[in-house]
Amino acid sequence: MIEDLLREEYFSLLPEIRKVVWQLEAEIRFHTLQILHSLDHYEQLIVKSRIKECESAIKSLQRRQEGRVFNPDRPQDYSLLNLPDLAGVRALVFPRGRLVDVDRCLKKVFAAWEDNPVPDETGAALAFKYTGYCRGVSDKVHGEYQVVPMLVGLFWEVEHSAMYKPDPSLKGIGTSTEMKKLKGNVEDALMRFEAGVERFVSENG
Amino acid sequence: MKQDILLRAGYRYNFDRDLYVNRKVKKAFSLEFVDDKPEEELVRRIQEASSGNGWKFYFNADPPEGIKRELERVLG
Repeated sequence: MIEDLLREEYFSLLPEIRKVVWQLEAEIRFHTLQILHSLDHYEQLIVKSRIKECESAIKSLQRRQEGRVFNPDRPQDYSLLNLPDLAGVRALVFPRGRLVDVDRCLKKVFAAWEDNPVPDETGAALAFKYTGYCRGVSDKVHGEYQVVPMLVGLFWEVEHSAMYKPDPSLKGIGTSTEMKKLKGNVEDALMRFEAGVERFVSENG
Repeated sequence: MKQDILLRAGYRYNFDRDLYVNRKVKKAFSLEFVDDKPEEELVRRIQEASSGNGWKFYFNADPPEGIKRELERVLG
């Protein structure tokens, strides 16, 4: 069964995935240290890392196939190495002005990485996302880092478990047009809140 | 809306496979196909005759035999 082959691949890759995520997290913490120390008391920068779980990685690969099934005749066509986010780091930043500082700083360090921003409902970049290899650590396992507005990122942590790893009773929630619209509304409200805080600080601070 | 056209034609959404499926006529449309093709083409494909006993799959990329077999197994 292809899923079993992929499970086997996952556990053989796991030590390398760990190395990539540790390296990436350490580099991001190191390069944003100066920004962290210059934050005002109401500003925040939190760096989090995660290794994609085995079943989640297999499902993610399956979701990339039309019809969401693997071809049993072609097991050699499938590899978890095609996933860009086995090793992921997320920098949560508040407010937006600081997010731009962090993004600019990391872009210089990871200049060769591929840029793939997360769009909002209007197509504008809501968060920044980059994929690439950590040189000297792995030339097989991709690393992914994201620079995300903190309020949106914390919302995503809750939303993601409900929408993408749903309980059977919530089946279909991820493709529901109504839920997508509600998600867009929440993100928009959180971004407006951030903009309001920045405006207030610049007028009264 | 494309979704309404499919629902009116007796297709139901399969959340595990992201397919619009009509078991009676044994036809299935992938989400990608429905998203990418214009309404007129969708209507034309819905009206196409089914292929006897076997399933007919409408995908952007013509599915290989292994995928068809696997989908026929899971769709019953």
